[in-house]
Amino acid sequence: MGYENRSVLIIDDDPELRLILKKILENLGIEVFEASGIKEAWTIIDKHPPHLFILDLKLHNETGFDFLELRSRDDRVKNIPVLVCSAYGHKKSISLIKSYSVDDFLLKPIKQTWLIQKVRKIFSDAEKLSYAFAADAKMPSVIVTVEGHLSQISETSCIIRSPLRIAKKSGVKAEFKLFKEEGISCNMLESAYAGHLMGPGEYETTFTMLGLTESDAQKIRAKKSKWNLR
Amino acid sequence: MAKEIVVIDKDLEEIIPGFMDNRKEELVELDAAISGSDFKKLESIGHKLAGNAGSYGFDGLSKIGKELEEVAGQSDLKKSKSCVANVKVYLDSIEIKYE
Repeated sequence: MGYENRSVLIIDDDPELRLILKKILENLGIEVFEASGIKEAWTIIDKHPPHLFILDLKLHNETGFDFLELRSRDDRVKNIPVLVCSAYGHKKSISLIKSYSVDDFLLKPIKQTWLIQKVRKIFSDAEKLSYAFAADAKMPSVIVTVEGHLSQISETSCIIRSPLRIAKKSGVKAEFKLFKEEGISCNMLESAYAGHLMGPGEYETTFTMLGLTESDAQKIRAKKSKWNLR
Repeated sequence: MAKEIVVIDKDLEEIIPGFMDNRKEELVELDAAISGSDFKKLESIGHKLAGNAGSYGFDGLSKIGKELEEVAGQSDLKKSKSCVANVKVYLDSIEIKYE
């Protein structure tokens, strides 16, 4: 798989190591930028925010943690994934790294196959649509259209199976096309629980059916066997 | 003496000569560091070798670098000299094959 539309910024004070990492990544079609330190990194970020940072923890007169701290405070880059590369795999360092929401870690010496594997995984994870909102943030509107099918239905709730994983326990609103097509006026649903993983890329989510009328309930009872549902 | 074959990915062929040139320059620095008992320098070069050589595919050299880093960190001149000698032997004894 080519990554011609992806870029990586390598932050490492060792030019020889930057060269080998650059060569490996360019062979995958990735555009590579290099910085020997944090100041240089930020100059590049201002012009070309990358899709991934590869960061050494030990820089000249500064550390990778200094960069991670700055990154955590900058909205432009705080969600850009980071792959930390270091010769030091102490438990304490790794715990500290994790506290900065670093995506992965590679111990030096860096083997070509491991680097490619880690980069591929990070890019693959980034392709999955994901919306994460701070607990106290005003919820922005996001509309996502997915294919789903009805697993179960009662007169108050239904379970829909789809590729969408709802991590929030409640409050996500949905419309279900089938209800509209079947003339059920209640087509506004609200998630009641977080979704459950049923299989690779398949989640079941329970929704409360809002504004259900008696007429809707009768239609649902009548259609259950047509829909082949319990 | 039979050469040890080191197999390197063909995609990296372009940058290996530069790596080997850096090692020749480094040997001069290592000899100077041994003469001056500059353990900080020896440790630093050992650390760099341990990380970089392995990344380029020279695992044997990476091991020597790691050992140099350790013994220089303990200010052990005799073992540091031995490690520097091993670096020279390694570089003279390898044949690079690109696949």
